[in-house]
Amino acid sequence: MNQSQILQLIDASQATLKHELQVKHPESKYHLLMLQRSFQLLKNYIEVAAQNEQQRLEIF
Amino acid sequence: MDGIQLQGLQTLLLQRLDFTTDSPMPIKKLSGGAIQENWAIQGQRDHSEYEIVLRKNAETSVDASSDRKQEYDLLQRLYELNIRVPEPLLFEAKDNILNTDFFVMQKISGIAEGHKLVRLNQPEQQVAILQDIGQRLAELHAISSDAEIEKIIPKPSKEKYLNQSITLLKSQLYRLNSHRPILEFALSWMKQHQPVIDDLVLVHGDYRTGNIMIDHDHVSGILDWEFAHWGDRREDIGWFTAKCWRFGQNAQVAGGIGAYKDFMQAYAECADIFIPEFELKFWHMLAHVRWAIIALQQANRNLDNTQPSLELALTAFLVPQLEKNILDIIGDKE
Repeated sequence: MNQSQILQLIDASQATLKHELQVKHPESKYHLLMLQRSFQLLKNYIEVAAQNEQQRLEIF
Repeated sequence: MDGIQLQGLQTLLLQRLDFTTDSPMPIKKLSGGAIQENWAIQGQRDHSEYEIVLRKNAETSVDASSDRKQEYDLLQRLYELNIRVPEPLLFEAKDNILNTDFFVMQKISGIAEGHKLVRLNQPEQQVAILQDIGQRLAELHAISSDAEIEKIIPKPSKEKYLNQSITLLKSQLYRLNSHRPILEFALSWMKQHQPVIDDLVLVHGDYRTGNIMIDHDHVSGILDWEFAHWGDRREDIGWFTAKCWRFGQNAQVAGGIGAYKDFMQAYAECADIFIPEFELKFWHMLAHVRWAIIALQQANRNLDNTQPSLELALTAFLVPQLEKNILDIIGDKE
């Protein structure tokens, strides 16, 4: 599994949370939004870590 | 304001707003407002009791505050968009009886004093207040950018916004000619720990207990729009929840009024985005650094004698506590 596959999985999970689970379970909206944000932060973290690694290795 | 100015104001209000008052005009300076002055005037309009607030520049102001025309235009647009703000009634440019830009708006009912709101001791009422504060903020952040608003407040690019904010604070600190190593270190830390910006929304810029008028258990109006700009939503959330704006009730993270969850749940369900508390570290830093610089600017207005004032002089004594908070935030001791 590589990094881009993880990011694709995160995107798919976020879409499921937003377009399917939130519609089916409006009473759980707050908790689903928490999950969505967790995925977003994880995605940001992976992307920033990758950029830092590139800079460290001086690959531009 | 002297007698001639008050008489001229009374005539202007009658001519332009059909607003009548007793003589002498019942006018009272409202508390707060070290940067702007607010004056409440009681009278009659359309044969019923009516109260207005006149908002004018203080003798001197701080670097980051907008001019009154910009604030009035924004207030008008927000009022049209059903954001809970006082109804703007009249703007007068500088060549007038008060010799300064000023505007008049309807006075809204309720209390805004922070030290009262954080000591209500009414748990259910406090939760209701926080929920409304969260929803009102979400409504503001949901405003779509359009040409009219961008004409009033130009929108920076998402990539440059945070760098520009930090650079502005640096230059403001530099101009103060005051050596504050903790603030300099904090700015350097912020430069190196910039969060990813999701999108830019219209932020109030001073959304805190004290600027939100509360009537019993709901927000009756959001005041003081002079710092409004396009920014990250977490800037407002961080400002509202920063320790320096909890009025001594430090355990009550949401503006000193209550729990973060009560505020955030209402915000998230309305804005469709949840912001965890730990994400606010950078924004709490920004809030403290910004407030410390404003406090130093205000204190300078007394020191350089442009506006001798005990209130302004005392503002300088806030800075060491703000710096202590900054160190606690950096060290994750908050």
